[in-house]
Amino acid sequence: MGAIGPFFTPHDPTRVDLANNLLPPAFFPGGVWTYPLGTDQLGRDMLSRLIGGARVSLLVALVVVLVSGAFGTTIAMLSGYLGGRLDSFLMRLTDAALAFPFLLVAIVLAGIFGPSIQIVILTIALVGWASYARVIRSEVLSLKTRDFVTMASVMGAGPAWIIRRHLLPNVTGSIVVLATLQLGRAIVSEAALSFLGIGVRPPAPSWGGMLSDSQQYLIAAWWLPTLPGLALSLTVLSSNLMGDWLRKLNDPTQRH
Amino acid sequence: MVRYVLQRLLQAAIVLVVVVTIVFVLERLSGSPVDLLVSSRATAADITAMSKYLGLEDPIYVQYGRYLLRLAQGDFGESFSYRAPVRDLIVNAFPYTAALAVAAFIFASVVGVTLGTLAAVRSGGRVDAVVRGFGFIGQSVPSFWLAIIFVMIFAVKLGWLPAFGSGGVDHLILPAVALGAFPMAAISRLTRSATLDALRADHMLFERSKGVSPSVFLSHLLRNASLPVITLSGIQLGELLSGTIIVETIFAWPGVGQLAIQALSTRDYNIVQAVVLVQTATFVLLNLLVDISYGWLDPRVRT
Repeated sequence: MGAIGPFFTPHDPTRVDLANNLLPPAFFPGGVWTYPLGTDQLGRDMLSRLIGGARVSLLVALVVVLVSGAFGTTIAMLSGYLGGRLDSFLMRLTDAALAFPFLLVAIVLAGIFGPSIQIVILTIALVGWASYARVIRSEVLSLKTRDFVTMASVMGAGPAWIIRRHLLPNVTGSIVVLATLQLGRAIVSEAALSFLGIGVRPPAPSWGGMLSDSQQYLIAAWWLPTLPGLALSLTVLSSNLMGDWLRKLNDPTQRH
Repeated sequence: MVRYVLQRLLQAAIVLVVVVTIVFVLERLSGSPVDLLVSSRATAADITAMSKYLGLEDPIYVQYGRYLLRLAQGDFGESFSYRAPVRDLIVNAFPYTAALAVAAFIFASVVGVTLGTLAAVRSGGRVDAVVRGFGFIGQSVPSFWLAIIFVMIFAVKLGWLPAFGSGGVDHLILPAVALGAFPMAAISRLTRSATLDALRADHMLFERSKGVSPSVFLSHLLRNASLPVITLSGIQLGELLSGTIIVETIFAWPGVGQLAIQALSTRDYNIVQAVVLVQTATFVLLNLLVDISYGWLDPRVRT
């Protein structure tokens, strides 16, 4: 839905129509079918803005998952397979990343460079890689002692070969599960940053920004806070359900 | 055990230093606060004098060294905008943040553990299905949306509870529940699966067949199921502390999160650094306590 958004939005999500502002959704009294989900305080079409917001959320979340997944897995492989001092250094780094107050860092970065999508992606990814590093590393540690890895190493395979051919295929399942669960969290983080005014810049539509604007119209227009939050929650819910389902598929002992 | 604790302490200190350094460097990059302090008619000489007065003319490593030295003495410096010691500002604001986080945590753990245990004991039944659905929804609804919806329903429409500000316990209910919903869901899900695992363990089956009283059985069950739940709870409490920032801004709750957000717009470095430091320190300390209690509860960890 997000990807094909620009071709399907009924209106331009930033077009202002003050004569028709704060219209309720069409199936409630006072609503019109020109604006199926109503309009906001500036008369902008809610449906178009919701679709535009979906596009931003999914784009940010996908890039975050790709960047932090690739980085976290690399760290996990190096740390878990090579071990030694490198391992303890990288794990301390992971602890630091997990203890990092990402929201504050995001605000500081936005202060330096101004609010932008790139900063949002960078800060979420800055923390996100750590959970991959932790989980995948522990799997690598147990894989490393298995016969087929010892065998390959005895036969003269180098670390790069073993990581690529023997370790990576065996942790793909976990990576997919982690990625699906992270997708939901990344979407919430993006919305939180846009909500605080340090993410996507208005007037470009974003779910967090729409929620932030809606706070002044709680009495006049219930659909302003309700619809973006609903879109956000449903997206995250489906990502969580999918992650949970994949996890059970991946690990038969978890089925209960 | 002592070695284990010492090792964890050292690790915690390293994390703190890394965080302090990164934040220090980031903030010095973000531009000078002098432009915001002097009037528009200030001459170049005035600006230099002001920079010198604030110690911003020195090389960055001197500023950093001075900062660390003062931190070691428990001094967070002066706030440019409030013209007051940052320590006082933090000391005033932190109890509010702590109260909010603790209230949310109590809500999350009491409701979460109760629901999770109920669901596990009645596994497969209707209660179980409801709790599981609740858990999924709770983990998918962001706290700030919940906060806005709560304000709309309970403060604006029904008028039962105040919409913002601080005061009695009634001011704490909406922010605490909004903040606690996510950890509540996480704790209920984990309690359910941990209790199910414990129920299936051989020694519990033996106890049940032996016919011990329900209260003894329950206490053994909870003790066995508590390990993962305590670990998760510690992590959740840490995350609650940083989650307070956004909830504090919605409810105008006078905690450190709101203080930090306001300080950022005036580029009041010292406040932001102090807030980040206090929050990180609390988070690291909580993780430390969780790890130690883990060793206390499970003798197998003590090596």
